[in-house]
Amino acid sequence: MNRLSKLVVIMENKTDILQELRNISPLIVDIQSVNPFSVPAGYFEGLPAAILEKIRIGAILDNASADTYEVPAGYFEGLSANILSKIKMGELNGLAAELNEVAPLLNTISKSEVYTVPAGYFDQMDLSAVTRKEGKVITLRIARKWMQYAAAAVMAGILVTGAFLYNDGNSSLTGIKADSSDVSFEMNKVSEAELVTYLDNPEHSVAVPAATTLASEADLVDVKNNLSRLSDEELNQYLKENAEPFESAVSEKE
Amino acid sequence: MHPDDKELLFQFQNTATKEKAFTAIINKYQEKLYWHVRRLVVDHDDANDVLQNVFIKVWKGLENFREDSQLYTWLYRIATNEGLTFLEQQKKRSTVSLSDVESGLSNKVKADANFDANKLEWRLQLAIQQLPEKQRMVFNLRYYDEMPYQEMSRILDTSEGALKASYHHAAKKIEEFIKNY
Repeated sequence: MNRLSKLVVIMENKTDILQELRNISPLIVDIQSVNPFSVPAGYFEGLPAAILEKIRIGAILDNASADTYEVPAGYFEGLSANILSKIKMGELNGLAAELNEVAPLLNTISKSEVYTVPAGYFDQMDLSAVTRKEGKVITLRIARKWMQYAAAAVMAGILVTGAFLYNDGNSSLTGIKADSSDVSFEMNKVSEAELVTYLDNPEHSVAVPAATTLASEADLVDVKNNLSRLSDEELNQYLKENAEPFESAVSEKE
Repeated sequence: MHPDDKELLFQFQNTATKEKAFTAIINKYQEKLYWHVRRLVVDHDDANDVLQNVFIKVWKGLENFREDSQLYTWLYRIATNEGLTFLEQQKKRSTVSLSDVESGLSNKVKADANFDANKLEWRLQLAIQQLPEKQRMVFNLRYYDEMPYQEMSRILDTSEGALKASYHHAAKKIEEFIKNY
């Protein structure tokens, strides 16, 4: 294709493009096809040299990073072992230096073991043979049950005691208000002879302390004689000093 | 008058004449490629960076260039990819949406020392920046570079029919923009 025919093709192409655009948008065709942008003066003149310079620098950098340094043969294969041995040596040197500062004499003594173990001790040691003794396992459920029972017992005790104390002050089984002062009053009415007769009756000898039951008949006669010699005041004094908690409470009330 | 592409490629294969041939290739195509990139990225400094990268890639790849395709088409293809990559990197760097990048390009047009909103050619430039990337590329190649669809199809890896449709849509949008500006 000669230059003229090339020019014809270009012109035809340009005409086609204009016609195509006229069909789509006549407004754009009327806009002058000028390039509004500009470039710095001499930009294109200097561009090839600038690009070649960049390529040369790039090539130099590529070569520099490619194969400037060499590694001894087998370097990477033995690297991990070398590093580990250096770490170990460093640790040992550190310990020796520390000991040199504290007690240099100890560094001169051999660290070999002076103690011995029976031959084959470590070989025969069978840890699996050691039976493990398992501790008693108390489940939470059982503990909880005991706690429930204890709580129930405490509650029952409180209720019974409460009911007893409440009824004690207000109950009237026979319609007469029971009062410990009444007992003393009634007791005062009883004569000494009647009391002796009452005590002599074996039917009333209940709730006698065990130590008393072991006493002989002669001892009892002595006690009776002694008691007969005691005045009421002395008896009351005795009762006061040896009264049970409940009795003392009653006497305090009096 | 520029030497023939085949002659330039032959000289490039020879070590003695390699740099001379490459300089001739730059001289032959630099302006076309520059304007192709400049219309895409708008700013001169950006266009200069992209164009230098384009020619560095050409230097590295020209030895393996297959002569069954035109050098001109191959160069345009590299320039298009480099320009789009540059825009993509700008998008990532600024972490803004595509529409923000387009408005950024419009702002670059307005920031040009010669910008004149009363002149239609500048309004046309603003209108082009409103287009999506692909339509902008197609419109520029057809309107400014007067490139046949067949050639454009090789550069953009798109069918001629799709390119015609893109050009049609682009021209209509531009007309609408200029009317309402």
